[in-house]
This record gives sequence, C-alpha cells and structure tokens, in this order.
Amino acid sequence: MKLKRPSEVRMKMDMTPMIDCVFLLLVFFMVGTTLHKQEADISFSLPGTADQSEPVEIPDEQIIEIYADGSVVLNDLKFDSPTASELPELIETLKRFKATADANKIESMITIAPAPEVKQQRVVDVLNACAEAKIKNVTFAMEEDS
Amino acid sequence: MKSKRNTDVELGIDMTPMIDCVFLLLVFFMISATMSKVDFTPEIKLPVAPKAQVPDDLRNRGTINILPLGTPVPGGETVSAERPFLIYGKLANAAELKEQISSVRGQNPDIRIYMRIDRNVEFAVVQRAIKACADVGVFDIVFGTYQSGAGQ
Repeated sequence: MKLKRPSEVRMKMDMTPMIDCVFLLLVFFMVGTTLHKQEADISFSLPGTADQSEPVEIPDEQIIEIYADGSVVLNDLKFDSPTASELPELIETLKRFKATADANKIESMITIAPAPEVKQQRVVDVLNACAEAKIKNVTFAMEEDS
Repeated sequence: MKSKRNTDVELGIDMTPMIDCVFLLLVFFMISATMSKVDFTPEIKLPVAPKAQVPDDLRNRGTINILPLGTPVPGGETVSAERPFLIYGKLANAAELKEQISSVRGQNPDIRIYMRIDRNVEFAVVQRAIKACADVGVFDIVFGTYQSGAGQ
C-alpha cells in the first residue's frame, strides 16, 4: 500500500521562542555596550634620540613641578589651589606661553616633574591644562635613581 | 446600507521586517561590543580630564593597568610596590614589564603604550612604568582618562 505523502500539511513555524531569544540577546548587548564608560586619551611622549643631519632649534622649555600636597609650581610661582582640580591660572599662563613661543616660531615644550607621592589624578589635571592650552610636547622628568 | 464587517478574515501580522530589523541591531551591537575589547580591568577608576580626546584609532596599543597598592587582583595576589603592573590579569614587576613591552614591540614597532592608571596611584609607580617604556625604546605613551564623572 502506498502511503499518502503529507504534502498538503501546512508547515507553520512557531516564531515566538525565537523572537524571545533574539530580544533577550539584543537587550543584553545593548546594556553591555552602554555600561562601559567611554575612555579618552591624554597623551605625551618621552624624549627619544634621533639622528639629526641639521642643527636642531632648541625649543622653549618650561618645567612644571607638582609638590606632594598637590600644589602646582611653575617658575617658583604657585598656581591655583592645591586641592581644586581646575587650574584656570595655570591654563592662562600656559596659553600665554604657547602664544609667545608660536610668535617666535619655536616649539613650546612642557616638562612635568611630580613628587613621588603625587596622585595620578593631579598629574592628569596638569596634563589636562596642557591639553587645554594646546601644548603638544609634554614629557616627564625622570630621576636617575628611581 | 450597513456593510458587512469582515470579522472572519484572519488577522496576521507580517513579522519578517521586524525580525530583519532586530537581527540587524543584534549584529551591530555584537560587533561593536567585540571591537571595544581591550585589556580592561573594571576596578580601575581612571582620572578625569575634560580636555582628553576620545581616540578614533585603537590599533597598535599595548595596555598596562596600574591599581593602587594593596588592591587584591582576581588571581589571589595583592598589588605591591614590588609587583604593581597588571597585564592581562597578571601582576608583573618592572623587569617582567620591560620583557613584555619589548616582545610586543618586536612584533609591532609602532606600538603605543596605553596606561590605565587608577586616579589614586602615586606617581612613583607611574614613573617606574614610564621608565620601563623608555628603557625598551617606546616613547609614545597614552594615559587613559574619563572625560567626566568625578563623583564616581
């Protein structure tokens, strides 16, 4: 006896579990991507050695010291409060320094010399002030014995 | 004349465009989630710098994580002055750090070092990390920061 083939049976797929599942994944990835707080860069470069065929122009260099209590010192002059993270006086001075260096067509350079106890947030505050004054050449002072 | 209401017609919503749309979103979020994968230690509270730039190019980066001294790390160790640098979940001392950087630099000479340093880490430790980079010949260093959120 020949079996009747069930070609007339309507194939109907239940989509509900699949959609449930896809929504779950979707919500998971949406939450997962927004939970990460976006990280941003604040960069500096260390002085390296490079072979020069022509004489190099000496850039105008300033040293910013950060003391253990958080006070920021440039040319023996204290700037702003040691605790506030905003450094408006330093930013103003750095902007003027940058403008003078630009007018003389020389590169402005900042060396930051923090005390060993200084917290990273304070160092980044000063880097942030340099970034605000659009000074690109920022580096750190290194002690040989460390 | 009152028209006959077609209550007998089966109400069927075409699900196909919705599923298309949902799949598209799903694929988008899956890809963006994997692209932003770095050596990410969520315990680190990065310092805040409102003028920092969000980078477009995340390639050529080697990450060093630095937590404050005394913080326990998942491996069961604690961050100490001797071994303060956290790389892919493992603590390293300065010599091991140098070794790692130089091996990464051997594979990729354009490497930049991305330092994710907690805001409460003292500069003495940071200085050792910078010095390790300088000794190996990597001069391009980036500090990780948040643009806002000092309260967190």
